[in-house]
Amino acid sequence: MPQQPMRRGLSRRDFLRRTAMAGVAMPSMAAILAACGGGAQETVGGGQTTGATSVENPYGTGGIAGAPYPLARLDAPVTWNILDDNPPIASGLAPETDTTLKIFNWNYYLSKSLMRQFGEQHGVTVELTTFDDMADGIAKVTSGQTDFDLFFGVQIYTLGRLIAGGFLQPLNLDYIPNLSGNVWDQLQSPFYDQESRYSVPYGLWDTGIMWRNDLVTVDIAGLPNPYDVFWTDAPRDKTHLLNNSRDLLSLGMFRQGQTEVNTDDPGVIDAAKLQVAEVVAATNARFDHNDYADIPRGRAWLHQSWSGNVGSAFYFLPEGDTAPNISYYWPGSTEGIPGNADNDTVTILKGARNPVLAHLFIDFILDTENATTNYTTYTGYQQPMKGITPESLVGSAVVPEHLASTVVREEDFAKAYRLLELAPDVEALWESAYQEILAGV
Amino acid sequence: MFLLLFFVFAFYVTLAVTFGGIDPILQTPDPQWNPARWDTGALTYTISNITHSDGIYHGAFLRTIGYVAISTFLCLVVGYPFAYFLARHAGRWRGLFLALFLAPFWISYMLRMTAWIGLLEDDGLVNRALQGLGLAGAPVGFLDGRSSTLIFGLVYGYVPFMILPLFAVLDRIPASSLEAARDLGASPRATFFRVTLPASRQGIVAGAIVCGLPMFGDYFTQQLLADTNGTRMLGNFIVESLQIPIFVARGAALILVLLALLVVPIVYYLWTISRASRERLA
Repeated sequence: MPQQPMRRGLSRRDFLRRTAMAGVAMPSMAAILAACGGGAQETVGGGQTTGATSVENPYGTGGIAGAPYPLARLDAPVTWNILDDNPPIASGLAPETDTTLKIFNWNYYLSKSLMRQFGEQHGVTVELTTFDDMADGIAKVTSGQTDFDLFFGVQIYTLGRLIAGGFLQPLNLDYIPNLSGNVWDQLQSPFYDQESRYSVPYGLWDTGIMWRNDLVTVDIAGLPNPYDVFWTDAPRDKTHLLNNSRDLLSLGMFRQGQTEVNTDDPGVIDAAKLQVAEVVAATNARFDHNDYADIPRGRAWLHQSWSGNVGSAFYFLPEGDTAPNISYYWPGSTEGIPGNADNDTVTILKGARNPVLAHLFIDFILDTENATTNYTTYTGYQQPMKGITPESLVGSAVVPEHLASTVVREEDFAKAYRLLELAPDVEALWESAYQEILAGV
Repeated sequence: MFLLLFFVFAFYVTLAVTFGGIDPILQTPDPQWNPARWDTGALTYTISNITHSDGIYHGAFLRTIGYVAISTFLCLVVGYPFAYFLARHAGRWRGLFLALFLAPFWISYMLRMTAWIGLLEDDGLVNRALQGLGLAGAPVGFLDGRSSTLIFGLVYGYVPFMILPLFAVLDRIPASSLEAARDLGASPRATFFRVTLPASRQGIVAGAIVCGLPMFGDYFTQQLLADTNGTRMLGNFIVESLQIPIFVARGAALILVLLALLVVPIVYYLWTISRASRERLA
């Protein structure tokens, strides 16, 4: 999802719900790290060379160094080890009965009707526990005091630490035929978890620009570089930017054509900071991810946004309102302009009491019809299903034609640059730059 | 036992996190319980960034003190007359007036602030009223990151904490003292400034403490009503740091600095209470 560890203050979904009710998240390796974006990998700082050379590690093979476990990159995929003391369940087991399947998830990130439907199908109770912040989620899961079966919305840059920590159970894909049947080919054995040993993909989004086309009249999609709108035509007091270091600083990088959005180069990070600071100074920009509410209500006219939040915006519109005043554009659609897209995952916890049911639930949620229901009636975030395309959704009148761009195409996702896990000391560089922007220094 | 559990232990956890490390795998805070192994890096960083004029916390530190001082003073300005009215002139209706005044505060702080967003936004009731009355030609951007809106929110949110201790003190001032002053020829104004106000000093200090202390850690009011860099308070940096696992120690260090800052007024309050007790016994 959508709500990355750092993607948040008050949870988007929490805020959404509460607002509606109102009436309205080593080793020091300054030596290594390659910055990579959609495919381009480079080794920086004289450290270990990566790329075609796999990094051997007790937790997995591949990736790059920088943490106790391998850091996945598009051109350095990771295959996580399956340990003898933590094997996947055997094939052909009967699902657990007379039990409660326990799901741990972001708030408002899984359709309640689908949970109910699965429970009725298997004669079990499905119980949802939510968290508002991935740091809190990890703290709870790693406390040893919980007995959740499924952990939803695990970002790909959180996956490695959970596997290395021994908190996830390997998957038996025999129970999940919908993975190979319905999910995009590029995510059936993704670079961050080759062979889908511990995870299957869940929500996805791209990061673009959402605006009120009646108040910001610039043809953003027609600009040679759509990112320029934040520097040239952004309205003062009505411009909002995403409140996390990665999305915010990558905005400045993308604008300059810089695609190393996982860089450890302080110079590149500082240049991006200065770029963003220009926007902040000129527009008195705010930092949040409340676009789904603020754009429809006119509190924000121009917002750096996740595509999934556009879908959530419909909660704030009268029934039948097709949001003609709302526009969304992913700059990566423009020839020669880089853009970000990412996805999160579903995992089964090592201590799951209902592992068979958990596998079956994953398969259930990867059913195209169920995934469409989940996306269009509840979460606003699509799943990487072959059967979900802009054409299929616009054709069914679920998504207004002018917002068809909010539906991420498989080919766009494939060419997008990913915001991936950084070594702790590199992450500190990014976060420090972000705090300096917030502090105006 | 209560103090041990809810203050001493909690405080030690904060110390252990501030001077601790980061779990190398989970990258979550790794508290260091042994003081002999404490790493003071986060605290040093925090203090340095507060005291240096180009530090990331410097501006927020100064703003926080300013906002809290102004807001607390305004709470007193608003709260004192109301508390005085309740204690002296509301008679048998004082309970009703107090209940009516406190009724909005039965609703959660967040919902009340969210309601103010609706009232203060460009097409909100306040702007429509101002425009309808010809007092504003265009919508006033109350929510565009104004210090005045933030101070308003703080006053609105915390004024009950000023009124209640004031009311309690004013209500205990013996009517005979006021009558004696008047009998000695003091005017109502002189009676107030020479009898009532000095007699209510302990309530003023208590109100300012109870009202001002939570303001120092407030971040929500700023987030909802004035969320721009120019109004960011220390509380905002605390929350933001706590949400970034590798920066949790910095957030905890900010809490310690804030705590050290707040010890001063708390000690003063305790001193005034102690002195008042001694005077009563004398």
